[in-house]
Amino acid sequence: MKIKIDGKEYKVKGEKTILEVCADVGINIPNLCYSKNLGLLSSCRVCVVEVEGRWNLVPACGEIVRAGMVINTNSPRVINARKTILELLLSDHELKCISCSRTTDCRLKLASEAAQCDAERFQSNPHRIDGATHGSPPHTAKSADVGRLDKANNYVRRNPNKCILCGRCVKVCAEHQEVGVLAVNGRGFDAHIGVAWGNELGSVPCITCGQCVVNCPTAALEETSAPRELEGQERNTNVEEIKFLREKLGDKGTHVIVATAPSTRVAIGEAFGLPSGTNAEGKMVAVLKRLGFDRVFDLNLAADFTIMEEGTELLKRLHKMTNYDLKTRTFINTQFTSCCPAWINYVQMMHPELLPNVSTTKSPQQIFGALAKTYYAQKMGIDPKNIFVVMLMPCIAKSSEANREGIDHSKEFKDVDMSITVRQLSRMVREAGIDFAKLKNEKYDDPLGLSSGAGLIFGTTGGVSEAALRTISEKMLCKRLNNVNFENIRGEQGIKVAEIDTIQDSHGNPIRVAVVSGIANAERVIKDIKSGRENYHFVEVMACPGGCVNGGGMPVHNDIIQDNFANARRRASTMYNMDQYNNLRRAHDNPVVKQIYKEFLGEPNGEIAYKLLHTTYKPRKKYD
Amino acid sequence: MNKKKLEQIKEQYKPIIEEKRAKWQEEHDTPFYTRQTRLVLRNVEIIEPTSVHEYIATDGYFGFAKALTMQPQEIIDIVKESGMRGRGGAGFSTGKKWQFVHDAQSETKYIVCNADEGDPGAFMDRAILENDPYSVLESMTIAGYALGAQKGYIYCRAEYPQAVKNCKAAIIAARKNRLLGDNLFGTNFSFNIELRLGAGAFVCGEETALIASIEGKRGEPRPRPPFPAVSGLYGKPTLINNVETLSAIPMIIFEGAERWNKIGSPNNAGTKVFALAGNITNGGLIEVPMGITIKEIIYEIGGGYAEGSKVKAVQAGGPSGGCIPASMFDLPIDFDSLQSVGSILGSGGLVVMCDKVCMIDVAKFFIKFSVDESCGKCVPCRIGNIKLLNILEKITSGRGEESDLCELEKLSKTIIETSLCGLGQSSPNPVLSTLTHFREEYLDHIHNRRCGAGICRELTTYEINEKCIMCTACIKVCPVDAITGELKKPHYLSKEKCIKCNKCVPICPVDAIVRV
Amino acid sequence: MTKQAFIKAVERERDGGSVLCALQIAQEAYGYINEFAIQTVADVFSVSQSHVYGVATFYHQFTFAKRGKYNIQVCMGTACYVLGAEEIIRAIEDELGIKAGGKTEDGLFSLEHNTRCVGDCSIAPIVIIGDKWLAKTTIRKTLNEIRKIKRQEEVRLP
Repeated sequence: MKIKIDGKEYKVKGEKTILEVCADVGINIPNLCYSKNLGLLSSCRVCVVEVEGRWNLVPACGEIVRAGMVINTNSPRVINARKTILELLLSDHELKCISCSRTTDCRLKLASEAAQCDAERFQSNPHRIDGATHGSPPHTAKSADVGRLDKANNYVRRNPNKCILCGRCVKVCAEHQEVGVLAVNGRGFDAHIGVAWGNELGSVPCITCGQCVVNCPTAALEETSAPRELEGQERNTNVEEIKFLREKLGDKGTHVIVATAPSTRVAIGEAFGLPSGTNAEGKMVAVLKRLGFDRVFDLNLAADFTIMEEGTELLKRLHKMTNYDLKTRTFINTQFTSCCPAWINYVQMMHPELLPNVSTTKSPQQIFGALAKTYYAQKMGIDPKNIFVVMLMPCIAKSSEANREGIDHSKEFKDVDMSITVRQLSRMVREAGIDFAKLKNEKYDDPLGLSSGAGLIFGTTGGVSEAALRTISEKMLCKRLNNVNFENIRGEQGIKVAEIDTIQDSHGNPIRVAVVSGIANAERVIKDIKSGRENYHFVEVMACPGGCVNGGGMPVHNDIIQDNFANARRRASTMYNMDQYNNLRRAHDNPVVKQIYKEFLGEPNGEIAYKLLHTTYKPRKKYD
Repeated sequence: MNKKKLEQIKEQYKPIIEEKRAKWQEEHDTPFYTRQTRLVLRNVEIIEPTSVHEYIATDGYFGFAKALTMQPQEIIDIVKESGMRGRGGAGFSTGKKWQFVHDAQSETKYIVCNADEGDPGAFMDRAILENDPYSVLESMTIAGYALGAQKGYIYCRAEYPQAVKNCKAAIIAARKNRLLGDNLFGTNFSFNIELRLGAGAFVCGEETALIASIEGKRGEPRPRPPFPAVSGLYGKPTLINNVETLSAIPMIIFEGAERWNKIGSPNNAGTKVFALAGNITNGGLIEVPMGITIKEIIYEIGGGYAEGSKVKAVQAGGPSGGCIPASMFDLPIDFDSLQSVGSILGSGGLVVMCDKVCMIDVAKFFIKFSVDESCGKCVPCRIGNIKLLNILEKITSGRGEESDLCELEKLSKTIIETSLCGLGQSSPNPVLSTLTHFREEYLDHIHNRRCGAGICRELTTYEINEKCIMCTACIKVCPVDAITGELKKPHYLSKEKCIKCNKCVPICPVDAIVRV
Repeated sequence: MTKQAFIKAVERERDGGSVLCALQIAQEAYGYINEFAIQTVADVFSVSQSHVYGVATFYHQFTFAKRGKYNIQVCMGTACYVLGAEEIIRAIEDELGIKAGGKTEDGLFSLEHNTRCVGDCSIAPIVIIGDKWLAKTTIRKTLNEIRKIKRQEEVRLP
């Protein structure tokens, strides 16, 4: 069909919105609340355009293009309206852009700058804090500060003064994760995002998956790292945490090592203008070394260990029946993965009855920390108390995992000292003035730098399962597979089910695997299993839809249409490519893994391995 | 229940009704009533509200009986022919809306009656629901039959306890008499109605917010398209009509479209119920043909304003509407002509204002209302309205500048053009209409720092007039000793010392302290 | 209403009713929305407490603290406003020493903030004290009624 935009004719096929069609032809209509993955919110009204025949201005994000439509995106009427709306938002916003963590990718800032807004056009109005007015609950007063000072949840920090009430966080938490701890409270000008009773996020079942943070268009939601040494200090800001890490790096008495999570290498380049999904592994290693890390290791290696331990665990289980016992209401043997800490938080709070079925194998992060402070410390002759282990993660929940009660093998020091997100690292790099794109590739350090493709694909949904299947298939069939690709569990759908008929359990049933990402999907699968509709031997659950490639700590794009899935897709695709061309494709082929078992750990699931690389989880209260 | 039984009941109760009608007419023999054309209000104050029998005696449910003998499209065509336009305020063609819902393909459809009459100053729907609830029930049943719906909801604001009570009783009685329920009148058409209460949110009068509220959620409007006629309650095609619109339908079906379209003005058929209030001698509900002039309403029906003050303006349409100055009182009242002068018919509230009313204060009152009732979802309404309020407060406190008027107009225009729902799209109307028709009052406040009506405190001065009985009550209460005097000796109020706290005005037993 | 009865009532709402209806039951039964109400509704409807709380804070019918023994509502509809409702509410605030939306310390009176039009505009201005309607009222008439109630209540005290 033919339409006209800004005086020029275009041919359009299919059902597209004005926003999409314009983006396709290079007209970037600013928008704050729209997101391809979350659907239509229509709350910011910034994307309004003129459509001939319509009396009012029409939001481009929701309007489907029809034949003969005449659209104007930059008439004086449109530009004035856009400016006014942005200026209204600016009058109700904490304008501390220079020190703000989103200064390079805040949608409000970018749109306002482009529109040349006058931030002082409108006088600010204080939000009512006297709960007695307007019948609104007495808890309104708490929300502004509570969000900021949330002592109980050190991983997702809220700043209501920067919130534009787009509603994305509520939608993703309630509909995509079905956890629903955030909601809009109050009404009108005093409407604000809050938690039941104006409480802290930490006292409700927030699983710290960070989907709210990565979808927030401003800095109203941020991650925090919560290293133990900064505990108790009034709300560490991102700036303070980076400062803390910088000082650790500069401290000659501390041996600071970093391990990079699988998906970080295909995302970090994006923070520096490299195309989405670029394999920037070499540059990432280089920049970490430039920043002063004493050693740069690859967490993929720890992922290989995870497969060894979890795979062995699964093999033991496969010798038993795998049905849900309706009488005792327990799963008998389905094994759920445990490397996603947000998923574990979810199980602890919402489904403690599943805890016996959660793998006792620690996540790659915690395995690495344990090995670093024992094996590595011994090998290097360094006192583990002077080793500071940092994790580079696509994830927010990893900070909560590092602080999990009982996760450390020693009472005197932590296994993992600090976990930072890719976004936090990118700010450190900018602060240091390093031109990331210009760096030359460097290699990981030994001895904890060698990994297989199986460990790499952990970063996407289906990766853990595929890596596990590669190892356990070969173990059960006692032969090497010609093709180690399990294509049927790849892809970004939320629930993927595969029946592997080459391997069976002790009753001769082919192994059934379910790969789940997104907690709403996890809930669905759990219901299926409980109702007896389905049974699986192995269920992989990643809290973030699409897996870690779409994690809460990943870089946020300035693409005109926010589409987290598109970026995640590209990142995942690169990882599968890298796996394809890796010399090592199976966890059990990794010579470093074999060496460490031989030298130090003994057998997978053996006594030492069990002590260092396994843990159990306790139920947690939902509300306190 | 069937047509024969209806006729039997009508036969039995008709004399009672006729007697009641005659008595009412005798007791209401004033121009206020005789000049009305009471069609929608025909049963109000006549029949016993919850008596099914009395309702039937007024031809109640005969419309439904007739509808059952017709094809759905025939019924819709009658509604179209009648020229009925939505009485909730939007004035959308009722017949067209019915057609949309009818054409939507779905097994499940809903009929919703919007009784969330939130407009301050409007009480037409309350009167109908309290006094003639069956007219709404019958109408919804007819709509259900014509459009293929099996379930209806009446969403009534909780602030109308009597209406709720009578509605509930009527639904129970209707069920008992097989006028609601399964297989009505022996056909395979079943229809049930449920009453739902509002919970104190004006915005829930907006169609999509109303739907959200029935679904139990926050009453936040949704972007349209999709329209409720296609995807409404629980995603199903839904008809949402106002109480007044619905209550006329049974009569239109039974007596024919001409009953409605022979009255009124071109394109604005039928009557409209107005709630006349404010500075008026005879206030209350009046039902008059569309197209009657404002002058006739105020002076011949309302009796003007007795106390010698001049009527300055009339506000129509509540917080979404505008003020019409006295100079335009020859204007006929209907949807189209009010819109042409920047006002809207709205739901029918007509508040008469004399010259002791400050028009900027009125604009401020309505904007405050919109600020309180905004749902908060979209930026222009949530943040824009309070900025309009800021500017109006600036003007009424004596700090206004002429550039403020320009800003009011620009901001109002943006809010109207970019808001998500009807609330934001009309909330600046009072500002714009007072700016258009009463600009001199704005300029007086800005340039002369004066409020002619004596309302805006900072721009008035307090005076003790000749009514003073020298009792010293005001002297005792003044916090800054601005009033001097003694018992039985003249009291004097110093304008320089006065801080305009207003503590003295209510304390005076003879209302001798005034603001000028 | 006992806790059991409330839970049963909410369960009835789950089939065909809504979260809003359930909250209305709580407001009616307890006079305000308390933690038990939010928890029960959230559990019965299988939604999060935050969601239920978000619904409750949207509607002005719901209060989160008990109202006074005599709840005072000054109708702020257009007609009432034009006939002096704003002055009346200020006078009541001064008389009782509280702001609109608040409650006196002895719990005797609460003054509702922004009472919406009660739909009786021909007898404006209207003030409702407890169950009693004062039509075409004035500041003096209203304050007299309040003082009368105060005196009555004082006599009641042992």
